[in-house]
Amino acid sequence: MFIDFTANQAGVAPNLLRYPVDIIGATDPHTIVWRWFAYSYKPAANQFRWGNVVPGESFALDHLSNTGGTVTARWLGGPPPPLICNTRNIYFSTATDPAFIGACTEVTYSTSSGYLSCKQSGSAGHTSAGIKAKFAFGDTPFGNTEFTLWPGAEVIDVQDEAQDPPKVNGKFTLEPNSVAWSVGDAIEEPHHYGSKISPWLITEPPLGRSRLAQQETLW
Amino acid sequence: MGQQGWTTARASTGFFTSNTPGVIEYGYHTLTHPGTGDTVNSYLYTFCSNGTTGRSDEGCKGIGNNTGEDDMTYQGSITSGGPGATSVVTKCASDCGNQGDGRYLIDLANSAITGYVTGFTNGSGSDGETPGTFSISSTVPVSNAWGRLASDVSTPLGSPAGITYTTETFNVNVDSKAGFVPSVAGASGTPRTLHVSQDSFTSRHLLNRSVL
Repeated sequence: MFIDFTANQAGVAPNLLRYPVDIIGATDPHTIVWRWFAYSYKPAANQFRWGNVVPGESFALDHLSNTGGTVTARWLGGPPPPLICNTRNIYFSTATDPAFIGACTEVTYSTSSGYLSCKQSGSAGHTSAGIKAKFAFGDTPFGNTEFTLWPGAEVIDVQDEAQDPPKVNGKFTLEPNSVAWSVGDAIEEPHHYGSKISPWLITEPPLGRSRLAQQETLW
Repeated sequence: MGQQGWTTARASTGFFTSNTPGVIEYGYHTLTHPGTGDTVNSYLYTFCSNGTTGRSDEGCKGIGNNTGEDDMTYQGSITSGGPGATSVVTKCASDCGNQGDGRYLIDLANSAITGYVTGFTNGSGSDGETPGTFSISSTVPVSNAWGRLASDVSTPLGSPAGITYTTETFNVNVDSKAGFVPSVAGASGTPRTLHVSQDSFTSRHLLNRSVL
């Protein structure tokens, strides 16, 4: 199985890109076990790279008010991440006026005023001063962590070795797996989640030699 | 009176696609010059006489560089497969020819489990011996058994390499099991498959992947 976070999907069909990560298994019905495997040095690879997923609730707001179903609130706690500009929904997980607790949709954020606004019917008319809240990105109190688990397998070979010479023709050799692979099933070979892209790679000779060269230039 | 036609000409071209994992490079030029004098790996001289007459014209340019992730990925459908197949044939619908070794193939018709992560732990250990966990809102089947390699096991190479997988025998200290009997053959008559966390150069958790 592979876990595919919706927030990390990019583009739209037919160019939708997903970045599923290998799941090792489940130790109970609500606990799955993962291991990130990427270029980074150990033990940094122990840390899951969330990408556009923001787990947990740690973003503070004040000056909450709701006029006609539109909530406005002031962002606290430093510069907001760029992600807020691409966030559709947020979830008020705590609020000094509990009418605000729940999802708030159609988020817009003004970088000039430091205020965000969103739609929430349940708190309409609540405008008393001093209302504070915390929110999570996405549809849940814990954040935008919606996922799909896909059955799949690591690809060992994309060449059809029965051809002479071997051809890349749509045949896949896979690791042992328990996937259905029924005729007609839509399949996809996503890009690998571990990425590091740079147009230039510059390496330099040992420092001692460079220094000597510089001194000679100065003379 | 306008320009007389328009030509695209390249004095030197090359295209190379490699679908295999590993170090793939198009050009690699090493110059070694132990003697005195000038040492230059490459000179690129470009001379032009102007004339950018279209908005998309590049002008006089020494080097163009376009590096990045493919904006499509291989998609298609199964034309030959079956439960647990390790050899499947697909009909390509998108990004044909750009399938690659070492990535994953997923079956979009059999998803199934969706939900939210409600908590997590990161992995730990100097070599990541203890993997991370996600607490999830949905319900998944529990893996039949968990354990750790009794000693370090080198990642087995496919035999022949790059074409197939190979089997290897090693000992596992079982942490927990629920109906999992290692010596009993699986439904297909072959020994049950243990999935080793991806890089198995040191002690790792294992499980029976026939469940999840």
